[in-house]
Amino acid sequence: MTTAIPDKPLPFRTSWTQSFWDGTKRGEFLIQRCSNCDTPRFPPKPVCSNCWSTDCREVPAAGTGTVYTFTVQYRAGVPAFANDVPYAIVLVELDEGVRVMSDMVNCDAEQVHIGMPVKLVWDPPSEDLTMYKFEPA
Amino acid sequence: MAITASGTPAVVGTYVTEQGPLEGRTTSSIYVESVLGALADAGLSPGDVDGLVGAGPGNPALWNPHGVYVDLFGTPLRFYAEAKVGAGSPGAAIALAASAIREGRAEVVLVANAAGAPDMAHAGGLGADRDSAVARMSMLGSEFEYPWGTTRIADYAMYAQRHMYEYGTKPEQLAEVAVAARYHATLTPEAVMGPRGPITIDDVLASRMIASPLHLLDCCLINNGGGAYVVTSEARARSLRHDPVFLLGFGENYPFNDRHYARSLSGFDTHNSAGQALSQANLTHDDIDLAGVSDHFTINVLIELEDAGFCKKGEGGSFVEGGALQIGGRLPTNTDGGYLSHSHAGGCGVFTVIEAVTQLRREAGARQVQDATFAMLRGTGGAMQASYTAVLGRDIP
Repeated sequence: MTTAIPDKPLPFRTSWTQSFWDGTKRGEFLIQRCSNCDTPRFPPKPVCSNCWSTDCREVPAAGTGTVYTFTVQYRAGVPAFANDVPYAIVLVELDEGVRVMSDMVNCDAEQVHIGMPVKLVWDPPSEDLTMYKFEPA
Repeated sequence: MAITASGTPAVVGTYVTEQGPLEGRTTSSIYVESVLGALADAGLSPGDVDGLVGAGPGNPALWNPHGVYVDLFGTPLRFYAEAKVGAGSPGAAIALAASAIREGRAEVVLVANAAGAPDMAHAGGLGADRDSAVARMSMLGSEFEYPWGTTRIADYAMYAQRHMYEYGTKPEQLAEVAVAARYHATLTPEAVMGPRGPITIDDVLASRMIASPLHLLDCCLINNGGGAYVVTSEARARSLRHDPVFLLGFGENYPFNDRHYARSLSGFDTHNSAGQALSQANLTHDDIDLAGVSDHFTINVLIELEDAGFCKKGEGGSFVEGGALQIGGRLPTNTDGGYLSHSHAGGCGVFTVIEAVTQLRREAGARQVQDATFAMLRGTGGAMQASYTAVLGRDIP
């Protein structure tokens, strides 16, 4: 007997984050840079944590970085991920200085380690939404 | 504001229900037992209570969670508040209760927690169906976290990986926390895992991996049960039947929410809440006889003991080695078995307070810490995005 695996949960998207998800559809991973102090930030938000300026610009990140921390999941939290175990969740520090969480693909989950060089790959679950994962660089 | 109640508020009554699956018991029945039990322990009745901290049973989305309590017992209140420290909330509640008492806004404040079968068929809640509880908690992250299959365990596992990378912490050292908790559970009558007997470091390391580096035995329970405690003014406390246990110092700490923004993932105390609480109490770390530290996962305890200043940052692993957290060790911690082996029933922070009170009253029986006089509590919520430090004592220094 097989049990149907439900669809994976999608990002809920807010007024702060819609332009980021518009960017991923164009193949751009947009981070924000403060117009006043140039501090980069991700996920997008309306205020700089360094100088509290509300002015910022969106700039595409190169998509390369290193693993800041990770874990290999051997048991899914929600049934949608039951067929994926074991999978490695990574928090990546991009070269621009912001951290981005996602899953590793195209590698053995158990080979993932802190400091591992990685790069972004696109993962479109639908025409309406393009998500992202990381693979070894 | 005029201070109308002088002195140091104290815990004067506690109660713990049976803990476990508790098939067929509703949240409300466990709640009522906890409330009446704690009041009876204090020699008080619901008619004495004029303040409440934390929601009662029922629909967690209610706009008026105080209303459930008021209607259940038929006793109007003049004070209500809620702490928001996740599972640690019923622990952090002690400071809200004490503030209300000091300010003359209440005299007898109740804190109660219960988890059982939902009372309302549609309301969900804190029942002990482990898979649904895990799934619910997996969706608590931000829109940039949960879509990648994060879980509450993954959150802590990522902290543990970072702690191991930065400081050389070993899985064997994490396992020490679980071993101490289980040993204490064997000495605690209602502890869920007590009947399973003690475990070794090797048992923890041999249990199946859930989210590396956390094994099954590095993870807390999910079960049902309840508990409650009563806080009142020093003057009234001294007239009641038990030795009062005073709240001597307190602090809170809210470092970040979304992990993308965290400055550190291996330490979270941005405001030295332990230093603040010890200073208020006129105590130092050397005065502390036992600790109660949220142990949703073993890594919490290492990080919290470091953040609380019991050792230097990064030295938590060596601090806990050699049974240091066991009764008779350097800092007996979670002497009831903690969330790992005693109970993780809903707002399980209530048990952290209750166990400290039991120890400081010197009524802990087989697990009594000798001459226990002062305790430090470190409660966390979520994935350590909120925490508190409380210092309790049977004396006022």
